[in-house]
Amino acid sequence: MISNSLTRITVVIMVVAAAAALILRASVPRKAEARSTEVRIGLKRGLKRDPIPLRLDDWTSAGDMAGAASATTTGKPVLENDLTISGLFGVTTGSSVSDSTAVAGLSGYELAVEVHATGRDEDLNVRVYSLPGRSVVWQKTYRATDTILRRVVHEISDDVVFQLAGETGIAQSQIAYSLELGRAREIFIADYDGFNPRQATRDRNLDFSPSLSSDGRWLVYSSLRRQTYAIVLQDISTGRERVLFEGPGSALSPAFSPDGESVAFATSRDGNHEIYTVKRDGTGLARLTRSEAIDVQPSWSPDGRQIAFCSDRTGTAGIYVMGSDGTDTRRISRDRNRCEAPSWSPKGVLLAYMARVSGTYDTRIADVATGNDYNLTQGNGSDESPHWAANGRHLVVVAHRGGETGLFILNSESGETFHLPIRGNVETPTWYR
Amino acid sequence: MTRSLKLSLIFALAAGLAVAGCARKGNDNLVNTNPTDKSKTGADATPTPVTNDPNSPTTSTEKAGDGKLYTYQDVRFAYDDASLDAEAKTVLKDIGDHLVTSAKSRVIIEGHCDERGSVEYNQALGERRANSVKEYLTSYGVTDDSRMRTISYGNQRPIDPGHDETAWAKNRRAHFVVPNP
Repeated sequence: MISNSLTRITVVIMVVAAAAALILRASVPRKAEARSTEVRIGLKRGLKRDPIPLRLDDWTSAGDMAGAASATTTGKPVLENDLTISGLFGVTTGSSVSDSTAVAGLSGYELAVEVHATGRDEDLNVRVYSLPGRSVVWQKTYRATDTILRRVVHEISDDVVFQLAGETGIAQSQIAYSLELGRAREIFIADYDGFNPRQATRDRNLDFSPSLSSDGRWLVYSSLRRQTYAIVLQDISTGRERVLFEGPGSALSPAFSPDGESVAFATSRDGNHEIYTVKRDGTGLARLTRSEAIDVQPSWSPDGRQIAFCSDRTGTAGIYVMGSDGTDTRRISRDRNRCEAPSWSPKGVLLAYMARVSGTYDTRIADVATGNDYNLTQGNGSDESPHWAANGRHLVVVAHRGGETGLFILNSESGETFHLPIRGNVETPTWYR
Repeated sequence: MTRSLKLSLIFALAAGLAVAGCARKGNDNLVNTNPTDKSKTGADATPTPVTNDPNSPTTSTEKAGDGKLYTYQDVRFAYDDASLDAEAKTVLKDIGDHLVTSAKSRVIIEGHCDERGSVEYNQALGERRANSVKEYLTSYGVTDDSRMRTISYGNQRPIDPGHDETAWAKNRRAHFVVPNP
């Protein structure tokens, strides 16, 4: 199960005034405009937010008791995990606070879920109360069965995040990654919390660096097959594949453009690694960089007009940004530490990359415009290959921490980490939607 | 299988293991073994691998066209570096002499890295190492480009699974593989 590495903040320290302001905000249903959470970085690290106090009641059941009990046991931990990872709430749990004396000391919100089971169907009646008045500020009924329960709970979590914090949640997002299987590597796609992994490739080659198109229809990855590197495109729904680019020279680190029409990648067809783009139909191969150095790991800006990449043109790997036509290249990383694997944030302001500091890699966050940066993680293990979630707050990294290795979610604001329950040797994660 | 072929194979395997044993002890001197049995092959025959991975991860031995065994040693590299130091050049000169003499020998040059750093940067660095070796051998006189193929495995094929400099030093290498004819 996912563990929260920081001590949970308790309701006791919540500020009543802040909660009251939130109650007023939440009483008006929100339109779909996600609040920008990115700020330009000064000399210190990013935002610290006051968590919204949220009391998560034990789920209650009605109707077919056996079916309801099963959903209750499975569903509540999923919801608690989602709301905790979101970083927006100070989550506490317990039985319902319907007793007015129990409510007296509480502020913020109470979230109650009642499961009403009929045969295989489960109705989940979700209510959000404001505290301490305990008036209903939002409610909705979800239809589920055991097989889709996790998905429905993720939907509930995203709805709660949207209603109470005005943001688009990440609980329904997916993470793609490369997993070692024997001497091979295959691409997998899992729910963002590490559950429900699906194997997308079964070719027994070395498959790396998955990237999904923004509509979720296409997967592109790098494959070392019979001593030749290829960039392979897969229609995820059918599994049908075609080679977009094949050596001579290696073909690495493909990344879909935001509109899904092009793929940027690195190839050494000219002798050393340069950044290229190719259209999704395999035509229109275009070279963007011209240096004697290694240029790899392109990452598109959300408007598709710029590309960040890693280059060792000054002798050590550093982070650079250029126009998506290859012009106006400038350096982002400032020191001489080895820096690799940039990921451009969905809101366009920040880059995350891995920076070698004192022998291990930290996750560094940099402002694209000013170059100001800070290390999100410092010396607590090694973090590699960061990739942003769509909310611009969370990152997925491959991390080695105190004997634990695997995929971790990082909250770029609070520094909280969550270890995903994916076993095995995992590399090159990317977050999708 | 004839008795003489059997004997030659036993001899070849024994020689390969002996060479591997030397390499494990850290003896970087090159070993040219000269079996006397030439009954199977003539000078025109295509060289065949005798040992490739996995029994001898830091060397590969081929039976050359004239029946002689030749063992390719790994070339080592410094951290985040693809340049060839004096020790690497000593190894490569011997390999160059062999490839110039044994005109039918072909090799795959694998570039490898230690575990530190991102997958993709290491894939590129491993290729740079393999190319560095190939360029040296080309300038040494192995002029037929088609005899040397390069491939990078980045940090995906360590020969020592450790997480310290001893392991990393072994894993930063160019490894020669003799392709099957």
